[in-house]
Amino acid sequence: MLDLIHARLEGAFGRERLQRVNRAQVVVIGAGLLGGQLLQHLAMLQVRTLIVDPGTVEPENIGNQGLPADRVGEPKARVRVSQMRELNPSCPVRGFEVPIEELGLGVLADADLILTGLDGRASRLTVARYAQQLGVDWIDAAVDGSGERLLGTISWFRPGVEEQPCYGCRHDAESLARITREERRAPCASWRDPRLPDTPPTLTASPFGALVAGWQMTWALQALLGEEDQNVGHQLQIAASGRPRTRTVALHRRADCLFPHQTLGPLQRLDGDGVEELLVRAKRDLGTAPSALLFPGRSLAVGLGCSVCGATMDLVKLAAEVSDAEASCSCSPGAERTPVVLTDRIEGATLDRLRGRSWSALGIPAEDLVSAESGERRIHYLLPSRSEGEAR
Amino acid sequence: MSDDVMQVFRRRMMSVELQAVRSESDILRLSPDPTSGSPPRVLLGIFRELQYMEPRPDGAVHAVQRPLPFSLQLPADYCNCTDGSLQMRVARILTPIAHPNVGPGGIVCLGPRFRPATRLAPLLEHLHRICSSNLFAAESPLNPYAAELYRRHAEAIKGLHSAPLWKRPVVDRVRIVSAEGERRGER
Ligand SMILES: [Zn+2]
Ligand SMILES: [Zn+2]
Repeated sequence: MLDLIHARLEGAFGRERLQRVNRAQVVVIGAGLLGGQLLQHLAMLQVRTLIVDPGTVEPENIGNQGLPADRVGEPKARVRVSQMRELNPSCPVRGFEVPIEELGLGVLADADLILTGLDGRASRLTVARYAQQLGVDWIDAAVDGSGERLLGTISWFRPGVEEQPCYGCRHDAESLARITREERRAPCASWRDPRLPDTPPTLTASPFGALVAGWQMTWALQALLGEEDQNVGHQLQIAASGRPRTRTVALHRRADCLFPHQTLGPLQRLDGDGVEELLVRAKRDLGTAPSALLFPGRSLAVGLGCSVCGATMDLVKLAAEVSDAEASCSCSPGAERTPVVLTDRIEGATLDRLRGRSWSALGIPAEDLVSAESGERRIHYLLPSRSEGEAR
Repeated sequence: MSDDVMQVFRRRMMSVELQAVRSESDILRLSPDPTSGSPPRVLLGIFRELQYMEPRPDGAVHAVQRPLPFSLQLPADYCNCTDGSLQMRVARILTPIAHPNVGPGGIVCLGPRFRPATRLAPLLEHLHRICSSNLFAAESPLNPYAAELYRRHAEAIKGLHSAPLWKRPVVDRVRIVSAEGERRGER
């Protein structure tokens, strides 16, 4: 049966082109309505695939996302992995049951293409940052989730090319602020968990989702085959209510874009989980000991202090990983400890104190990006992989 | 020379603002690094004569008028941060004050209305409004003790709002002590 599929694909694509597709690695972020459709195609085409989705299969998903009713309550990423393996056991597929924000950049570092079918715009900002840092093509699909209209868009970004539009180019400071304000509004006291719950499930009818995802997959194949790129930097708009209309518009490159248009450049992978190992390596690479370590996009608590009794406690940890016990002070009932400093940058005496610690103990995600800095020079490292958070 | 991403956009972001603030007042002596032209990642400044509430040992409060030093640090994801904790990673005051939204180490929660990519002048204005008690959120405090204090002395706090000081342009009220690409060691 699989041979038959393969023979048919080879007939359709030609041997060499099919091999090119088979060698590629694609990341699908969001395994809902759109992602589910993409994954079917990717399984059949036998593309190496990573699936990222923090959600679980909800009763609302049954009947429009192609998810089996007997797996309600299970992580979506896990269910999609088994669906793909069922469709094509030879298709290499991995799933990650975490939000994209908590995934280390290194997980995506070998990807040739990122495909997204996400609900929120805030998550797209994170994808935009990762795609930009890595210089990986990104094709984003969006459908109007209100359930009132059949509207969809597909946008193809090519980061790392200075004159190409990026996802941020469509936003000025004001609209950017609206995104982060609407979707990630968090009061001061919630420093340990600044993220809001997911947006409500998309209500779009599955036939329209399949249409949008099918079109997205067509562009994805163009990207993987590298044969056609007239759609790079363009957006396809699909309106299916009433008389169907489509149009393709060029995305605009904003001259004063607030987002960087460069990639990070070479990324060095590390083997050991110790902070010391990075410091030694960075000293060798920089020719001098790094003066600071940077954790772009991460928020680390350095020291915790109680505002009631004034006592402080020594600690360096990813803010989201600080435990309830660590955050409460025994001086009086309900007394809370808050960070003395919250930062994405560790240096000086604090940096020295981290020698001998491990990245996992600091709560930094596996394969996360850490940059070592000395003066104007920076070298970017990817922490080693660990197995947690990955669907089996 | 590293063509580092963050530096490029910080340069793009902040240089215009720094120029603008500088031209408004010659009190501000800001000097971007002459070799790289790169604007500072860390800014140390002082609010000259800031009026704020101070608790007295007897439990009462009184208004004091003092200079207040602060530091601003622009994190790597200053422009495209999607994480609410950004509001607490940017500003720190270096003299402790009792304020509901100032933590024990001086970190200032800029509040949910603070946005990524806020430019320097509005950022200074916003910070000034917080430190001078014109802006506070007692319902989600970093310092519950100060929140209680603010609740108890709501009238006195309100009295501060009318202080003429904060109505002058922010550039008249702030002195930038240093602006550096490198952050100094922890205090
Ligand atoms: Zn852009
Ligand atoms: Zn205490």
